[in-house]
Amino acid sequence: MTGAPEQRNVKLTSSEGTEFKVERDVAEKSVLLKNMLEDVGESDMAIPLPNVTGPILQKVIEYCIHHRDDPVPAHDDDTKKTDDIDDWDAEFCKVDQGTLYELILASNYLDIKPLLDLTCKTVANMIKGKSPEEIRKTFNIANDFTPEEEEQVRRENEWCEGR
Amino acid sequence: MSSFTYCLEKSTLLYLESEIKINIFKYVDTPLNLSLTCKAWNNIAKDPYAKAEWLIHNYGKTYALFHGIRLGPTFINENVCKTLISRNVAFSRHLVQRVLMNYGRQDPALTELRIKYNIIQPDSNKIRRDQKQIKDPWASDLPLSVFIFILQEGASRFSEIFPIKGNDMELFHFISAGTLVISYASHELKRNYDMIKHLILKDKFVPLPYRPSKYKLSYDIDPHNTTVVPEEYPSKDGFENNRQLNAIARAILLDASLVHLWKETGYTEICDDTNDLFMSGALLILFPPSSPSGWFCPTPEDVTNRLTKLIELGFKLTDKTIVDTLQMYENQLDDYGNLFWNVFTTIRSGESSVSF
Repeated sequence: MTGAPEQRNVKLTSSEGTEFKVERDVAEKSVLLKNMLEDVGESDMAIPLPNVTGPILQKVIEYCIHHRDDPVPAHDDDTKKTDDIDDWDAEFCKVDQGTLYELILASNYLDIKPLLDLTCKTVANMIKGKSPEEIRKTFNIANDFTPEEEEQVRRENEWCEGR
Repeated sequence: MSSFTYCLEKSTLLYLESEIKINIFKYVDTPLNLSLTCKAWNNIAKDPYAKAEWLIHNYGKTYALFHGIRLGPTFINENVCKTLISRNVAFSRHLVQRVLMNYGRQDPALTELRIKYNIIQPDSNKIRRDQKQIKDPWASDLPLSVFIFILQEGASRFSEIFPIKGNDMELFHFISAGTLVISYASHELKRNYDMIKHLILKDKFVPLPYRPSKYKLSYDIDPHNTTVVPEEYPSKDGFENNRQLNAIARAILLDASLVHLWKETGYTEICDDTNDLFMSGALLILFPPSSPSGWFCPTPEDVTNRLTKLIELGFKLTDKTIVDTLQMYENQLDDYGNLFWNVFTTIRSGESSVSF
């Protein structure tokens, strides 16, 4: 009986030059890295990721390891989605806002759709049930509307009442 | 990514790229409050692509366009329609027919005068209730440009002479032998199979969505009147009710291959939409209420095998199906109770609970 074929490790370098070794299937959760690896073939060269810091890359790798056996999401999923976030993912996203935004940017850059969706859903959940003023306070947003403009926005968004 | 460094410096929601903001927006359940925070988020909320994504996320591709129309002129415009079409949402001949049926405003003064002068007296109370419940019927206040776009899109997809004044839901009801008792219907459906196939694959027939409980018309249950008020069809709010979905469920019971045809067109919600009606119908066929002559009670294995096949097709033995079944046969539980229990627990074994 033969065991599973041994996987080559892939080296990734963060913006500060920190090197991370990950198994190829973990790296390939990123569409960007998957395409790069297919293009360059077998190589020991580290792949530089100048847009991702070490701590964020560490988190991204943690996510990809946990979800390494998940089915590949369809490119254009037609079905209505659920907003459920499982316990592990919810715990994973319990980070400060700065880290959360960096994870959003990193998942967008690395093209890891499930992680991008998870982090965006987490932000949406932080908005859930909040008044405009509470949202501004939570995300440090300045109100740049005049009262007249605010009234106009309410009229333009009447559809929200019927959803 | 040019804005990346900028984002890290600012580290606020506001400085994310539009594409990412749209990805957040589609998950937001209270878009108005987010729009009211600042101009940047309000611009996202007005973006046709953001609206299309929000619709697709919340309602799925099968019903995205229906709900876009339902949300009215402050939501939908020609660009939103075009974006939805480019995102390959469902566009059925049935939807075009229903839009045409409902488009345009009634004249309330004329309606009142008709009631006053008894021209439509028998239904006057109902009309008043309708007017109170549904101020603007579904699609009645569509912007003209959207109405024209939908007609043109329909003409380009289904030919310029397609039966725009038809009603594909009603057509389906007849050609799937909805008027015949189920024992005679199978033959008729088989005879019309090619027409049904054409209706599903070429005319992209799908029912409009089933009315969720939150939009239930309160006059369905009138506390001051024990008379059941039959809902008019097609309903003014555009949603289908049990009768229409029952026509679909019944046809699938007669020929399960219809499920595959619908799934082929992208109507992946077919099993979820008709699940409870379908499963109840399947059990009614196995256990007819009047026990006709020559009928033998199926064994638990027969029932388990039948339900398992349906589950493989995409249907589910939900808690509601179980409760509905027990209620449906509440006077015969001495005969079938143990059998149902054995079948349900066998199928649901491994699941955490069976909640009755």
